[in-house]
Amino acid sequence: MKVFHNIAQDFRRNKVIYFLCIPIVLWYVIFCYMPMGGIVIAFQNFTPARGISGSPWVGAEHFIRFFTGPYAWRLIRNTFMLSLLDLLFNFPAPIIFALLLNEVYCKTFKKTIQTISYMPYFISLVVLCGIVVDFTKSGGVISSAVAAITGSTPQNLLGNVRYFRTIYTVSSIWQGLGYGSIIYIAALSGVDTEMYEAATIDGAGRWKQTLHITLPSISSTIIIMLIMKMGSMLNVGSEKVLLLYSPAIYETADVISSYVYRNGFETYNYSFSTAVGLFNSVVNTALLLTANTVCKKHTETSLF
Amino acid sequence: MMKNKKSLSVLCLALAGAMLSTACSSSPSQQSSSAAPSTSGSASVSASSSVPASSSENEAKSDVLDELPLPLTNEKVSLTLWKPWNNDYTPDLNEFAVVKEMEEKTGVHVEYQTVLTSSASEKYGMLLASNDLPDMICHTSNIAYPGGGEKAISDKIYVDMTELVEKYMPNYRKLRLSDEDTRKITVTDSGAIWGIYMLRSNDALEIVPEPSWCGLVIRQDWVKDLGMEMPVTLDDWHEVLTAFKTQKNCEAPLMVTNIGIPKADYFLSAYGVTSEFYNDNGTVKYGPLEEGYRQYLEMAAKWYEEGLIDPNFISNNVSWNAPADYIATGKAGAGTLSWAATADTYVEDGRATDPNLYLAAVQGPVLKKGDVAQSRVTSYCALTPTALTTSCKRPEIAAMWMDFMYTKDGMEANSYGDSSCFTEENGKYSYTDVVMKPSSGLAPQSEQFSHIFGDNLGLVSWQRFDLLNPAERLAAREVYDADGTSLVLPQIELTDAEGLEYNSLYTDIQTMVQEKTAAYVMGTESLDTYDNFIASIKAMNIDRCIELKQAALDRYEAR
Repeated sequence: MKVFHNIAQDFRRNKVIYFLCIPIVLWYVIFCYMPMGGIVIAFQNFTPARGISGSPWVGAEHFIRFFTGPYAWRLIRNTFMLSLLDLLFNFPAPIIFALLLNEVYCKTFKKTIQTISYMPYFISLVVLCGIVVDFTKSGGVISSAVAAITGSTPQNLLGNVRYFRTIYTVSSIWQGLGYGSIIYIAALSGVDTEMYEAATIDGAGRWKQTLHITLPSISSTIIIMLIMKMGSMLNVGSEKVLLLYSPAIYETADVISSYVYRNGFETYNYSFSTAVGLFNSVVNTALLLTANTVCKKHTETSLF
Repeated sequence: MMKNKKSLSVLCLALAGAMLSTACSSSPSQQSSSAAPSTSGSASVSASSSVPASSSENEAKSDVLDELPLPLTNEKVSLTLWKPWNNDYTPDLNEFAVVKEMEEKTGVHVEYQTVLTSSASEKYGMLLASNDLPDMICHTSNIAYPGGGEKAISDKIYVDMTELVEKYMPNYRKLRLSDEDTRKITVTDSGAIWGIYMLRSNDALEIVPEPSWCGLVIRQDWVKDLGMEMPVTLDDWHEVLTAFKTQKNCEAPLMVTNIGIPKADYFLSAYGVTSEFYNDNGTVKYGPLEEGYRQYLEMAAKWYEEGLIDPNFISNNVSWNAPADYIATGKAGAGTLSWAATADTYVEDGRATDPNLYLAAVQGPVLKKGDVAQSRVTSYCALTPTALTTSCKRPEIAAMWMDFMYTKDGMEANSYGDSSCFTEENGKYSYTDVVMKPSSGLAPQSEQFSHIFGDNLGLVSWQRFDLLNPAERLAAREVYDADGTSLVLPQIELTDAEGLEYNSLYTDIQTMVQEKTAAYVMGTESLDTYDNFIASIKAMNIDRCIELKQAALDRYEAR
C-alpha cells in the first residue's frame, strides 16, 4: 500500500517528467512488445496470406527440425565463437584505450586521437564491409601485405574458412574502439582527482594509480557493460556476416542470424526462421540472467 | 560520487533500452506479421466503390462474346486494381494519359492501387490478411498466393475465371489457345484459370516469345587482337581465356557467381546438367548428383588454379550482369550480361580508356562443335497473372476490361502509350518526339515508362525495344537466343503441402551444395570427397525433393 502511495506522490510531484516519458514508453510498447506476439508463428506453419489466426498449428516441429538438422551444431558453434572472440578482444579493447587516453596530458593530442578513433563508427556498415571485402581480395591492400609478410601468394582472405573469424573480430574492434570508449572516458572523468594526489604523496606510480584507483572507480561501469554484453552473447548480428560471407566459408561464417535470414527471406520459411530466432533469444536471456546473478553475488553491482 | 552513480544509472537505462530495441528488431518476420493489421487499413483505401449489381444483370449472360463491344458498358462502372509498380519519374499511374484514354474507350474507370515492387511481397501478404480486397490483383515475379492459384480459389480469395474467359474474354481466349506452351502455363494442374496472364507479342496480335534477355559475352576486341577465333567448345574457351590471362594480363578472365558457376549455368550446361533441378526429357534430375556436375567441378578447379576464373569470385557477388568495374575495365574477359547492357553507359565509360572495348554476345560453350548449350535464360511468353478477387461485384465487366488489354488498343496502350506517343503505319510503329525527345530530358528508354501502361497485363510488344535501342545491343539477343532450353524446367507448381515439405528439405540441401561447390572450385576441398558429398545430400533426402518436382512436372505436362 505504501508503495502505491509513494508512486502516486512521486507522480504528482513529477508530472511533467512522466509526461515526457510517454512517447518512449509508447515506442517500446508498439515496436518492441506488441511484435513479440508474433513469436507464436514459430509454432505454426505461417503464411502471410492466412495470417496468424488462419495458419495451422504444428507444435514444436520447427524446433525439432532445427536441432535434428545438419547445421544446428555448426551454427551454434560459429555464433558462440564469434561472440566469445568479441568478448575476449572487443570488450576489453575500449577499456584499455580509455585508460591509455586518460594518461595523456596534452589536450589537443587527446582530442585529436579521440575524434579519429570515433570516425569508423560513423561509416555505414555496408560501406565498412565493402572496404573490408576490397582490402582482403587477392590484390587488395591487406591481402597483399599478408602475402608479403608470410611470403605466400596473395589470396582472397575472405575465401579462406580459417581467416573469417579474425577478419570479423579485427574489423569490429577497428570500428567500435573509439565509440565504445566514450562511456569509460565519461566514467573516468568522474574519478576524484584528490585520490590521485593522495596516492602520489603515498608514493604510488602511474601503474599503481591505475590499478588501485582508476580501475576500481570504473569497475561498476565495466560490470554493467559486461552483463549487457552477456545478454547479447549469441546475438551476432546478421548484417555484418551477410555482407562478408559467401557460400565458400559457411563452415565458419554461417551464424544463427544469417541462417534465419536465408530461411526467412530467401526461401520464405517464416515459421522455421522464427523458431530458430526464438531459440537464440531464449539463450540470450538465460545468459543475461546468469551473468546478472553472478555479478550480484560477487560484487554489489548488477543490472537489476 | 552520488551524482556519478546517478548519471551512471541513467546511462545504463539508456543502454539497456538500446539493447532491448536491437533484440526486438532482430526478428523482422515477427514485426512485419504483427504490423499487418495496423497498416492494412491504409493499404486498401479506395476499395471498390460498390457498384449496385442489381440493375445490370442484363449483360447477355448466356451468350458467348465473339467480339468486345466498345464501350464495354454504358453505365458508370468503377473497378480497383492492385499492382506492384516502380517508376522513378512519374509517381501516379492514375494520372497517366494512357489510363484516361483507356477509360474513354472502355467506359470503365479503374482505380490503381500501386505498391513499390521492392516491398510488394510483404504488402501482398498484408492485403490478403486485410479482408478488404481490391477487384483485381496483379502478381509480379516475387508475388504468389501461398499454395498456388488453385488454393486461392478454394480459399475463396480468387475467382475461378474459366467460365468468364470462355464467355467474356474472346481475345484472350483465342490467344491462349493459339500457343501450346501458353495454354499450359495459363491453367492450373487441374485445368482451372485463376489468373489472366500477360502475353508477349511483336506488334501483331499473336503470341511471340521475347528473345532471351541475358547471355554470355566476351571481349571480342581481344579475341581479334590475339588472332584467335570466337570460342565454341570448352577447349577453345580454355585457350582463349589462357591467352586473356597471359597476354592481356587480365585479372579475372571469366566471371562466375559466388558458388563458382556462371549464371544460366553456362559452361556447366556443356556437360548436359544444370546447377539445380533440370529436365532430362521429361525426367527431373538434380545436377549435383550427376556425373556431368563432377566433371565441371574438375574443370573449374583446374581453371581456377590456372587463374582463368575470377580469383575473387566468392566476394564479387556476380549476378546476371557482370560487374561494370570488371567487365568494362579490362579486368575481366567474359561473363554474363543482359543485352540491354552490352552497349550500356558503363561500356561507353570503358571505351573512354579503351576505345576498342567491344563486348560481343557469344553462344554457350559445348563439349564438341555442333552441340548447343541447353540452359539459356528463357523468357516465357506468359507471365505476371492478374487475378479477379471474390470481392469484385462486377466480374463480367472486369473480365471484359481485362480482355480489352488483349486488343489492338490494349497492346498499343501497353507498349506504346497514349495516342500522342506513337504513330502507326501499316502495322509499323514509331514513337513520336513525346518519347524520343522528351521535355523531361530523360533518355527515351526511361521516358517510355511515363507513358506506357506497362508490362503486367494484356498483350505487350517487345518489338518496341527496337525503336529505343542501338543495333549493337539488339544483335546480342539473336546470339543469346541461339542457345537451347531443353534442360530448363517449365513453370511447374508444387501444391501447398508439397511446397512446405520441399522447403523444409531443400533449404539445407541448397546450403550444403553451394558451400561444397565453391569449395571444390577453389580447391579447398579435394574432389576425392565427392562421393561423400553425394551421400550426404542423399541422406538429407534429395530424392524426395526430386520426387516432388517430378510429380509437379508430370501434372504440368498433363494439363
